[in-house]
Amino acid sequence: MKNKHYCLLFGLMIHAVSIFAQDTSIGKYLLSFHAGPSQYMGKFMGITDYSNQYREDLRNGIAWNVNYYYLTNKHIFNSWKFAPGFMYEGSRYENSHSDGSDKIQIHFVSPQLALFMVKEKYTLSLSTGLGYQFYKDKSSVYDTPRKVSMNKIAYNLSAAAEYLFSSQWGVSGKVNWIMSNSDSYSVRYHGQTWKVESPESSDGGGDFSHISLLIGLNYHF
Amino acid sequence: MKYLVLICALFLCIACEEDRSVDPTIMPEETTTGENTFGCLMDRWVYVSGRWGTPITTYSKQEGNTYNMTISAEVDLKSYITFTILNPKQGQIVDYTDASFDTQSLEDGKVHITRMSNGIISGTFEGTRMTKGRFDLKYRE
Repeated sequence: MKNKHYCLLFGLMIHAVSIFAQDTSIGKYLLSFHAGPSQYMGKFMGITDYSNQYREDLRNGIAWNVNYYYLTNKHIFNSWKFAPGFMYEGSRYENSHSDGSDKIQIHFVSPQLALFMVKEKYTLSLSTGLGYQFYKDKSSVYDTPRKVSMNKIAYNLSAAAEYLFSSQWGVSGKVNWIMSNSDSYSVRYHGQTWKVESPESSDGGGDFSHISLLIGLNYHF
Repeated sequence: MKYLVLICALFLCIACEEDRSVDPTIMPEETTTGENTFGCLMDRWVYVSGRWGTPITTYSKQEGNTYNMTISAEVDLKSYITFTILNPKQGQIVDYTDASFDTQSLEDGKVHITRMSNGIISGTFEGTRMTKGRFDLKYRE
């Protein structure tokens, strides 16, 4: 099913390439949309099954990403443009077992500081930001609902490359790595909420992150 | 006055002792190594000990050279699941009786004793409202 979506997205991009003219002077603002596979790394906390196989399967997810940048005229290191902006990335990881399931949804929002190298036919960019990550696990145990939340400060590093096929549109590939850390979570179950600190089920807290390999469209205006 | 405040604070800390590292929504593994774990489904909802202290086992001699084992587990703040296993023996399926959850009496059920040796009793249990139960506890004769 995921592969079908990627094929559809790729097809749309190829179609778009044929439509737009070959103008390469880009605008000051950039809006981009990306989607692709994501990999959860590091420690899981608050999930319903800690077996190795279950955790490994739960690491594979999907992500989607929206960026907005303002490309200033201020240059750094000669050819790099300084660009403040904003990023939202959502991701989802799911797995189930005989006694329960986990549906992790992570939403990351952050202001960004980026550097853009703008050439005639392509741009390269690096960005980073410190933001906030909303983590929810809509899980179930023995067919009863259980909700875990672990909202934390997080930061990201990302690198992207874009091929411009017009003055306004480009296709781009992006790698985004979002990192966070937690030693507690809260779980809501059967009308009660508990805070679980340094959970023994996951040998305490620790670092966790997710890295996404995304493709999408950039719109310059 | 200063010492009185300190003593009161200390007392409050002891009285509210709660092991926050335990997630009370996750059933413990079925172990037989004396991990002092207890969990079951009560009306399909998970109830687990550990966050509010370890379960208490009471081993008592009965008439006719038989023994009963009473297990009492605090599964929520001041909320207990208690039952008595009649003449438990390793490898056997035996009855449990006098079961209760808070102030509610529960129907009798069955316990499969998977280990009863060297001061460790482990097993799984099943009743009407109480299902998929498991425990792995230490006891003293």
